[in-house]
Amino acid sequence: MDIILSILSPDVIFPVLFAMTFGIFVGGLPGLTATMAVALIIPISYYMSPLAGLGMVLGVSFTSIFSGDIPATFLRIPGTPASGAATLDGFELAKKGKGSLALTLDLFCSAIGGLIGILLLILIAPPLANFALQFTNFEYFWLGLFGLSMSAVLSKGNMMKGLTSAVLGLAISTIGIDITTGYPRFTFGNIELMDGIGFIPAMIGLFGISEVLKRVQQGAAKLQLPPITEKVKISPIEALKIIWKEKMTLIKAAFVGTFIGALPGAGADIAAWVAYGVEKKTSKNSEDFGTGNIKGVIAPTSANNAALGGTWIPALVFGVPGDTITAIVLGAMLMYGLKPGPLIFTESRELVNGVFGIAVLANILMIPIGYLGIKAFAQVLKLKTSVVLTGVVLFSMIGSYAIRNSYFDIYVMLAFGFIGYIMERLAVPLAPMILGIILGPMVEDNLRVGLIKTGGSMNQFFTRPISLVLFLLILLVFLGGPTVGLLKKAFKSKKS
Amino acid sequence: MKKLLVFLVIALIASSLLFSVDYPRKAVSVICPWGAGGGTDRVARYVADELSKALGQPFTVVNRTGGGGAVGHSAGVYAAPDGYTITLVTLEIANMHWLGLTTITYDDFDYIAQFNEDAAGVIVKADAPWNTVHELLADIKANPNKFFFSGSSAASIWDLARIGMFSEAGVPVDSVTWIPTTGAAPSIIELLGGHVDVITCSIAEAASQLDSGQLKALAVMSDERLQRFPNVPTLKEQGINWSAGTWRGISVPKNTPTDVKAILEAEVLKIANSEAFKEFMDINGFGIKIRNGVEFYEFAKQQDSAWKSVLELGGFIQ
Amino acid sequence: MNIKNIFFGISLLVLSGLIFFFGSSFPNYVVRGNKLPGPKFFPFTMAVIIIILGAYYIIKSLIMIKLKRIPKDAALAPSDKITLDGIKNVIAIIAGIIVFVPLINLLGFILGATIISTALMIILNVKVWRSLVYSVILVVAIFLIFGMVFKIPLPEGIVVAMFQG
Repeated sequence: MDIILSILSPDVIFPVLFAMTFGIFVGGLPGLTATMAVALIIPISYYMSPLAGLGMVLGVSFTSIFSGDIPATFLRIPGTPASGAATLDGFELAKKGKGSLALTLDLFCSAIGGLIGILLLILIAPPLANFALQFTNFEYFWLGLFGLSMSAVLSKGNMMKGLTSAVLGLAISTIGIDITTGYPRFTFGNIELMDGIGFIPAMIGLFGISEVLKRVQQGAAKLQLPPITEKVKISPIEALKIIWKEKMTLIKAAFVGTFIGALPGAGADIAAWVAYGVEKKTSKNSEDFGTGNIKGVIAPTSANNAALGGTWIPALVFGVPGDTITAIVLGAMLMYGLKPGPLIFTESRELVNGVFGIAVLANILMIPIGYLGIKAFAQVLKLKTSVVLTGVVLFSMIGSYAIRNSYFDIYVMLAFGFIGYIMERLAVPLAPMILGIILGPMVEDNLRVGLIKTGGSMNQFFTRPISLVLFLLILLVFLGGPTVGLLKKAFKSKKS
Repeated sequence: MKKLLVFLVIALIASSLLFSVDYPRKAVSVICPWGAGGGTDRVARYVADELSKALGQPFTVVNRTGGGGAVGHSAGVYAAPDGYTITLVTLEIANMHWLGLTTITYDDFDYIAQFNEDAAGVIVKADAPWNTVHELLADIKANPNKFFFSGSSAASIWDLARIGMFSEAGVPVDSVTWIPTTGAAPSIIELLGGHVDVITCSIAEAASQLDSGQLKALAVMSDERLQRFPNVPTLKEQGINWSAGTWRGISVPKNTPTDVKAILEAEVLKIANSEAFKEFMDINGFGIKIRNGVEFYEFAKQQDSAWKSVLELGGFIQ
Repeated sequence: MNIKNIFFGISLLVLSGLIFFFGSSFPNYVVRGNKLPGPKFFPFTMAVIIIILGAYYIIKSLIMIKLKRIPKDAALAPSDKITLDGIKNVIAIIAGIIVFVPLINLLGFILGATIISTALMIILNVKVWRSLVYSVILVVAIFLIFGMVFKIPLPEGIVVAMFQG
């Protein structure tokens, strides 16, 4: 009871509301990530009580991850790295004039997914964290490959082209300093390239700029954005009805998301892609994916918000950050005199409960705040298309620059915009390339560090129990579909 | 044309005179070569805030990350030497040019003041069989090639700290396997999961795991015991003459006006000596080490040659 | 579409050639006399796969041309004809992004970005005065959000600095 009262007191709830509105704003702007939103809210939160301060951090991370989906859906520009998957079915729905439907579902699923993530955090944090500790290079290598196998799923129609796109992404990911030897690869002496191709400018270019180029090359006469004024207004109750029908999709994605978030070294972005892939792989009508299937909207958005709960698990249980957001959160906790680690549950039980309470509340409050965010964004789209497209170009440039104050990244964005534009003309899907860029280091570094540990032997990649399970899972993804198909055919021919 | 040139020269001189009496007249950028949210960033933001309060103009932290610190340090060196871009330098300025990652060296900066030094710790799991660093080293000598060490990437400061310790203690440098990771935090996870045996990283980074009893520190590579960890013996008291760690301070591009440097040095030293700063650093587990501009320059110079010899020991450079 | 795929295949072959060329100088990785996969290993593996894929597209397309068949995924590629107007627009956007950095460094963010934005809108068929109004609003908004609120350093411009100095 005390907890509820302390959460609802005005000096907690108002800062949290402010932070959440701020998060919607930051997440919706390309180039400003959820991590940045949290980093920006921290200096303000220092002046608050620990409960209000941590509540602000939670609120801002939840809303910014959601609102990254808004520009991804309307304009195909992911607002945050975690919204990459929303450019698939969400954007296709928007093209059909169902953008608000997609985003309303997105909003509700973000909130529910976030809630599931938090509930899992409350219920099974310690055992899940201990399980995640079992993962080392061998397991992460397979997990990375498992993620890559999703690229086959992400390519509509042509598996070969999807594979090509992913391999190109992997090749791009080798640019920069090699962490096992410290040798700079393909940098041509340019220090800007030493950390590799910036993932965010690449993504903004590949999805956003290529879309602009595609639009404008149709000539001025045809410049048109998808209509956003919908004949059918969607009420919250209807949205919930649709979600109820797809509840399994949501729950599955939220579990996948929380689990991936709990693994140190994988965050909301990977969670969203994997959830999308898993959903498509297990769905009956998987051909619809990529053409505006609402399952393709629900799965990634539920997973990325659930992953936020997941990333707090290693942070709270061991005091080690699972991603960049929790790295900042840990710093904040130290400032409040909290000691993250196993003792936090006994030493600061009350505060931990309070934080859990705020996390639940934040997910509920997200619905009205997010709704206003969608409305506000939709207003922008009522402008003339040429104006919106020019605005997109400006925001893409400044967003790419802002991520690490580097002009070089504007040119990276342009290069990827052009690559994306050409790739689409050749019917090569873009999403697998992004997946390759994200997962490349995970696959390569873990394979090589794993081999350092074994002295060059591959044995441990197959003999460790979790490794073996992951390996079999990948086999299932690659061979599962065709095998089942063959069996069915064989069965049918026998019958007839 | 000539007239214009003369005018420009006069304008430049006039403006530099103006600067010297009145600094800062506008916002100052503080370049942080490491990412938002990390330890260095936190220190940078604190110092920038205090400088804004003291000097009445905004000091804004600009994160210029990449290349293991190379990008930020280069940006700091190549900025206009007018005092409106200052850099939070870290240890990497003294070793990355040896690795060929950049052409800039410690000598490309003018030094304002140092305020931090974090020593490396020798950290193992709480249930590990060793209780002193000598037990550990003896075990390594008896079982070469058996143990995994980690802490960060290969040739990083924490790898070098280990190499220096081995060489001082007479243990062959390649008798353990260094497992490269992307930083201290992932190596702590590897250690907690039992996938590596020992980590040598900043003892401050492992503070919460040490406090909660998940990990134990066998030694710290500082000259004297740390206030924050009074029970952890130094290598020196155990007869191994080696200390190593990272450090942070403020620097400006070469040829910055002397008056500007004097103002900055006075203010940074004032901040570094304040109670509030001590409290901030304690909470975050950072160590305090204060050196003024001249001492800081000498220190950077000494570090530059010290790390070169360790890099040679490790076989990273010939 | 077959021609396009041949083009794609050739580009892939060129790319893998570049990877081999620039990667050949990467050092080997030896731990205690034991040669392990080094910096070359992963890029070269990718390059080999890229060669195979490139060859696949070229050979398959040549066969398809012989058989006078069109690949299945032809429907997925945009079928619209490239018009002169379209090419002009694409070049304008790319040029605008290329010129952006030097221009804002010279004239400062507000002036430079306004010029780029106005020019792009005019090329995309917005009336001149409208372009200007929209651009000023847009640029000032970006300046306030990114420059003031988020403290992203935006250039003042060499010209402006000269006048101030």
